[in-house]
Amino acid sequence: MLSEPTVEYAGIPLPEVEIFSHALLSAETTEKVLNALDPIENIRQINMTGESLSKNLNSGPAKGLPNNHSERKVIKVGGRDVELRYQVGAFYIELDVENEEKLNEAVEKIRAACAASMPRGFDLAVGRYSKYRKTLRDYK
Amino acid sequence: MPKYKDVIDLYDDNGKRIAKDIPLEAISPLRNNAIKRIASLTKRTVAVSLAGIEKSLKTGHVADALIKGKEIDIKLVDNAKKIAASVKEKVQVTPDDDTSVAIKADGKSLVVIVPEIRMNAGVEYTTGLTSVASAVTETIIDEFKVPMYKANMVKAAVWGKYPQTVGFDGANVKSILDIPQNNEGAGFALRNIMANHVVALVNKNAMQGVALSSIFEQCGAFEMGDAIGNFERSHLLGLAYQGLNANNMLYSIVKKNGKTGTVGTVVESIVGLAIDDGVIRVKETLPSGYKIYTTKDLPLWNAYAAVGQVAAVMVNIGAARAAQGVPGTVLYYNDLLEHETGLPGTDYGRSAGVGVGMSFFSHSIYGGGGPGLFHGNHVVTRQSKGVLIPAVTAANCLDGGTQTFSPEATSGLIKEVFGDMVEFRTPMQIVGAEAKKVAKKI
Amino acid sequence: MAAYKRQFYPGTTSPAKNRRRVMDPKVKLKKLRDVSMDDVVRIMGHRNPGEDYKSIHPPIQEGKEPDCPIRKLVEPIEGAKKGDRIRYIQFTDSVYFAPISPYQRAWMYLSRYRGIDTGTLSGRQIIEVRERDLEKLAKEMIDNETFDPALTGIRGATVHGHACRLDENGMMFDAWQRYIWDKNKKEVVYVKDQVAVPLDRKISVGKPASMADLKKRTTIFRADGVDMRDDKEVTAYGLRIHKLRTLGGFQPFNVKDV
Repeated sequence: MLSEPTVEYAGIPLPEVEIFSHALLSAETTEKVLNALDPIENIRQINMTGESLSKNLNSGPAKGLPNNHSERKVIKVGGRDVELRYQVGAFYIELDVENEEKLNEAVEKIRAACAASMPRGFDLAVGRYSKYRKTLRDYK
Repeated sequence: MPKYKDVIDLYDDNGKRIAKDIPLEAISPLRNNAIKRIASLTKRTVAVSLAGIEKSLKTGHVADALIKGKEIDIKLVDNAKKIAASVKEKVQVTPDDDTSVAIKADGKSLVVIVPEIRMNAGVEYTTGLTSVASAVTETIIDEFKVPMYKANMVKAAVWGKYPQTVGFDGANVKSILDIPQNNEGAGFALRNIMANHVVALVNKNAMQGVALSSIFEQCGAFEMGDAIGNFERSHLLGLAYQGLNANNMLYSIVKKNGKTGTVGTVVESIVGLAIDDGVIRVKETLPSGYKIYTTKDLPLWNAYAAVGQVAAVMVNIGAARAAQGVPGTVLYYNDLLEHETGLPGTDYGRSAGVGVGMSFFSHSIYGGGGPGLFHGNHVVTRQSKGVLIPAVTAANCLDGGTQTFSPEATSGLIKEVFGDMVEFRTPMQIVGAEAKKVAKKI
Repeated sequence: MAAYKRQFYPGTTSPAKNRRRVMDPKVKLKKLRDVSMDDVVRIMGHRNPGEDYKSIHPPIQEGKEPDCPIRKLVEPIEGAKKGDRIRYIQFTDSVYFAPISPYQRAWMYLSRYRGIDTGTLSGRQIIEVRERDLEKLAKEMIDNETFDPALTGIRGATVHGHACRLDENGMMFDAWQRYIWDKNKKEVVYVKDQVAVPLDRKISVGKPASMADLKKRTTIFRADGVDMRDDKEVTAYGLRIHKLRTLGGFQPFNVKDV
């Protein structure tokens, strides 16, 4: 994971929802999940992790040839192009919420959106999983 | 009175009995004069490449460097007889001592054996190498009247880079032993002999290779302080059964499994033998029917395991005629044996452990290399003392020509000059004969 | 005395029994598919089908070998006789109940074949053999029950995936996607060789087994399958070997009847 936070510090550590998929997702499913999450309010950012897919083969006798991995492609999320470089296995959804009530409301919406788009199942947890402000090592 | 009650029969590389009912101590490096002679010759025998020196001097390529303008064109190979006589005169202490200088390959090389008395006057085994190197240097300078400002070229052609570096890089004198600075620890000198050198010394005879490696390694155990007190018997058993084919165990297991056997069938044979010989017995039968074995004599079981280790290598690597599988064979043989019996594998797990590390180092995963370059002085092999390197030597003896680092490539000179020395070529016979003699005195 | 017969491995549970099964050379492993020899050769990528074997040394001629009693006792395998190159096949086995795991492959190979060099690495097992012998072995290993199309990968490099979650089709992750899921036939199809050089035609390795079936067949102990701790014989064995190695390392001469 990148050392530096992906977006500017919100002033407080906002809660994150971790969606940990039981299966590695195809690009198609990832697209579905993201589009299902897109209309939910209070989502500040979504980060994804998974298994890296290189564009070209990076070693061996076939080094340099295109990888042609079917799950490495550009998907459409909310009308915008997103280039997938991973076979996605988890989502980290940061919520900009003011209180528990709002948080629970957003979490339930996220749960419903994922349940509808991830038939192989997932685990959901609320916490803080990624860095939310710069630390010493980000000032070089 | 013998110290140990163990009695063994010794068999040669063809499974023929040499000595019957001899006490275990008869093959101890402390008692057996043939082993002493092997150790002594190992440090006293030095090869000199006259052709190498001649070429170095002629081209100015000395000590891995090129020095132009100081080339010396002299005929050393043609004058080998004269040089040999002069070197002998310098090296010997009295005219009737055991000094020997032999001319090899029409004068291309000399093999010098430094007299025992010269070695005894010092404490370090390098005496052989240094005294021969100096004698050759002085002989060339004197015989060919090399002037003062060119004499340093002769020194560099003979000694190589030493003493600019601790090693003798580019030297044209060679001993079977490496210099002490390269030893991993105290008493490691005899363990620092590449498997390929042993392969060359025994002319690729796998049984003799195992014997010679075992002698070097187990002598090393005495020198390292490992084979003393209660531990001495373990090492002697290893030397007897694995190295010297005691009771013909090694030969007969390989014979039984040679045509169609696998590592698995070797495990079957060795466990069967250990049961029949009463070394191990069933301790408990578990609900699945699995039998746990136990022993009253763990060092003896260890010797049996060590025999199986070499037999497994001989069968599996022999079938492949490719040395590369030795680390894997050692590792999984021991693992299969442990799972088979519930008793620890060779050297109580250390051989298996070495097998793991050695797999990486011999398969170009961590840089180049091959099993032929291994010796007991290596960071991944030194833990299993005595019983591991013989298996490596066996594998390299049986290679059909697959190795980049082949004995021909790494140990050509060793074969050329030491290859016909009976002590190195047929150690089983000479140690066996000596054991017979000494048995009466124990 | 009756000749000793191997007992292979302790344990009462199904992974333990399956381990004994794969290790026992007398057990003929079930053949589940038939990938043609030419296709096996294509997937390995060492030579083209029909091409001559390259050699690394001249053929071994009887009587012309170095004078060594062991060479006379030990018969070389075919490829060694011919001086073949040594080539490899490498299998990656998923931790999700693949039929076999890499380490047991070593036990199996060395109990069933001779003249081989094998090694376990993280998640994968390489086996190096003289080329013509390798091809026979590779075909058997691809055809038999130790291979599952979805959970076993034939991978020479970039083998990562054995401990990854499976994908939505139940396939083990492969960053180089050497094989793909054929939705219509419900089969796994190789499109690249073991080092990901594209194949000129697709090679089907058949339908994956069901998870329920694999859980019965696997040699893998797992907390969510058969937990190794539930097999008292296996855990007791592990503890016993650790203890005896330790005692042997200390004072072997004092270890009696343990």
